[in-house]
Amino acid sequence: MKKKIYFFTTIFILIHSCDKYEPKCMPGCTDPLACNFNINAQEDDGSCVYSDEWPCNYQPTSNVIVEPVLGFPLPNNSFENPLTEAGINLGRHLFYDPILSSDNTVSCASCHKQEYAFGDKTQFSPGVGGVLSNRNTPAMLNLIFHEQSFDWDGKSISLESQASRPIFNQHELNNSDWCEVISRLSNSPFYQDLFCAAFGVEKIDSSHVLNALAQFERTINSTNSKFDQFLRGQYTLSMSESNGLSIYNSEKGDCFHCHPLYLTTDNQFRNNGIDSVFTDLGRFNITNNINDRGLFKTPTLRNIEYSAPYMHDGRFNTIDEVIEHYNSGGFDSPTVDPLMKYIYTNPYNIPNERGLYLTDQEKSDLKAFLLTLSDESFITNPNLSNPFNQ
Amino acid sequence: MICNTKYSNLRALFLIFSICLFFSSCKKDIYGCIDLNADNYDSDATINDKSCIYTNLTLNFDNLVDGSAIIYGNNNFLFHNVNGTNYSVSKIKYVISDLKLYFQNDEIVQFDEIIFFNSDNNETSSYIFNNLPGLCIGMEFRFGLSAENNIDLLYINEDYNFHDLMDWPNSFGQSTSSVNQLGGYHYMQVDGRYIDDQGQQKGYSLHTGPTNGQDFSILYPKFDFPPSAEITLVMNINNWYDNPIHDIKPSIMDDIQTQTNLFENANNVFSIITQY
Ligand code: HEC
Ligand code: HEC
Repeated sequence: MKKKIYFFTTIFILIHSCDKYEPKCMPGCTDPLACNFNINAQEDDGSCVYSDEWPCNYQPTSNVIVEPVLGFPLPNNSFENPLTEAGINLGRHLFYDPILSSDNTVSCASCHKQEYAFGDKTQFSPGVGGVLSNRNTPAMLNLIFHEQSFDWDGKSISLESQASRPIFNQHELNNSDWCEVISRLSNSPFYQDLFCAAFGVEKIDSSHVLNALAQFERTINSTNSKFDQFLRGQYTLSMSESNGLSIYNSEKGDCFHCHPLYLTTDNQFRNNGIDSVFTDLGRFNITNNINDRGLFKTPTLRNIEYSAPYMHDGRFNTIDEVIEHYNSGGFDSPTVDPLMKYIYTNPYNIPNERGLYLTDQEKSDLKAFLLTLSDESFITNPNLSNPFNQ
Repeated sequence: MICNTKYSNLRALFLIFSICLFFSSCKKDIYGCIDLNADNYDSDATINDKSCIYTNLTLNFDNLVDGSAIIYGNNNFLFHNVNGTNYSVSKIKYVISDLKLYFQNDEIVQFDEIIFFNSDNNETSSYIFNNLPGLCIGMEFRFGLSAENNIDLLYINEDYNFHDLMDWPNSFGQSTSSVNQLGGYHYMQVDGRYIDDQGQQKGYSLHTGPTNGQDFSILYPKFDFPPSAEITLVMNINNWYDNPIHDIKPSIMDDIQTQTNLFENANNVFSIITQY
């Protein structure tokens, strides 16, 4: 019997050149630590600008761990950006400070207000110069438990990357580049101390700003609603609330397939039949997939009592209007979710009627249940409030 | 100037010299793969030389209606079942568990993982089993999750949003209708629309799961097939309706009669196709 041995010899000869006949390598600042770092630059042209420096005597503060919560997925206690007391504190100040806006007038909290579950009570929210946002400010909570995609269309994939969007968006904080933001912060002795305490740094780069904001956002959690107390055996649902839960959590109301308990969002993009013709293509803008036209991220229903108006365009002012939308069956379109079953019919085969056909009592029960998702200790949590008012 | 970018002109020259030398060795010590399960088992070899190559198995999911591929959509009404009811299929999700793979040397490998198919997520359209002892000749699986694996919140951190998508609500001790549901997870969700007997479009949710405290998951007997590295599990939607005959309904999650009908229909719903 023959035994085979194979010898492979491979020789690579690489001839590598970049001479003057080549197209110009794009010049710019290639140092990620500089405020004008240009991710597309290929050749450093010496233009990098750095934040001012200051002395920092770093005293590490203790790590903060967001504990797992019954019924929730494990929190993303990020290893790349571990939560620390000083990091969260810095993030909280940045969140509430108009210093992040180009003209020192608008902060994240101008739109994301604690009293409205970190959403806003107006349909669209004014940014710098009163320019209105083009979507409704979503309630912002429990994000650490489902960090997959952010914004109504899921255009941001992490809290760190999400935070840079409002900083440069003309409808929001309207800055033109990081140097502008960083020079305002690094000229402030107050922030020099906070950045030193949080990250032990003597100068700032953009990642410090984003990491601090994300750290604070990971603490914006609501897990103590009446419904949570009910799950822990500390609260008994009223007759009406408990009937409402049954409607929500069965195919009678069929809310749970898209808003599954306990998070109350499935993290998917869906079309819940609010339009037959779309003015905002939603998820399609990100994926270019025609099946994604008019899809939006299913929002959380926690603290829904506080976060009116509703939907990505804030079209509904009250919970009753939202329930009426679902009860009426919604509008047909090529991408409407098949779970919107009664666009043309109803469950009881009553001719010429459409929708879920809930009675007035059932609608008010459903609403009573939705109100058990309100968490008063969340909208009054002193750790999440404006630190400049203390 | 040297510049490491896509703009720079890279000229590469690859020279490959392959030299194969054949020589025989004396009869006593023949090196090679002596594992029957390996792809390159050498019946003449006497000493294992770590050259064995093992196989992966790719399990694809495919869903049909009586042999026709599914064109997903709300209202194309391309399909009809044994009752003559016209329907469309918009989305399909289902889970299989308690998987066992059988191999040529009588070896059996069991898997604890649950496998989730979601027509909305391409990443779930096939599943790859790694480092198997050879080519696979049989598979056993459970449609859905057995009662002991179907527990509220058990899969809360499972991939592909399994929990969010397949949660089968616990009624928290309340009764949703006359029937008290147990929690856990759906086995299957097929969603779409049909034309009801008044000629109107209506949504349906062919959702199966534990009902009225009863486990309706189905442990299929072993499927046999020729030695394969790639197989396809095919579900024929219409076979959920034909024996005993029953028809599409909008909502069946606490409908014990329909769940029983579906359970009894399960026999011929699945088949396995091998690629080679
Ligand atoms: C002018 C109002 C406004 C300001 C200021 C603003 N936001 Fe927002 N925020 C919005 C709107 C509107 C959206 C939804 C955007 C979309 O879907 O396109 C949003 C979305 C978000 C989300 C996504 C929430 C989710 O559940 O997906 C986060 C997180 C967020 N903002 C954080 C911030 C932070 C941090 C700042 C400050 C750096 C900030 N926002 C400043 C209006 C604002
Ligand atoms: C098919 C999936 C689906 C079903 C079923 C569903 N929802 Fe929604 N829900 C959504 C989506 C998606 C949105 C956001 C739509 C948008 O903004 O365009 C939403 C938005 C909402 C909002 C507004 C939240 C906010 O912050 O603006 C409320 C309240 C709501 N749903 C309650 C319910 C109730 C109550 C039910 C059951 C009667 C229900 N939903 C059933 C997918 C669904």
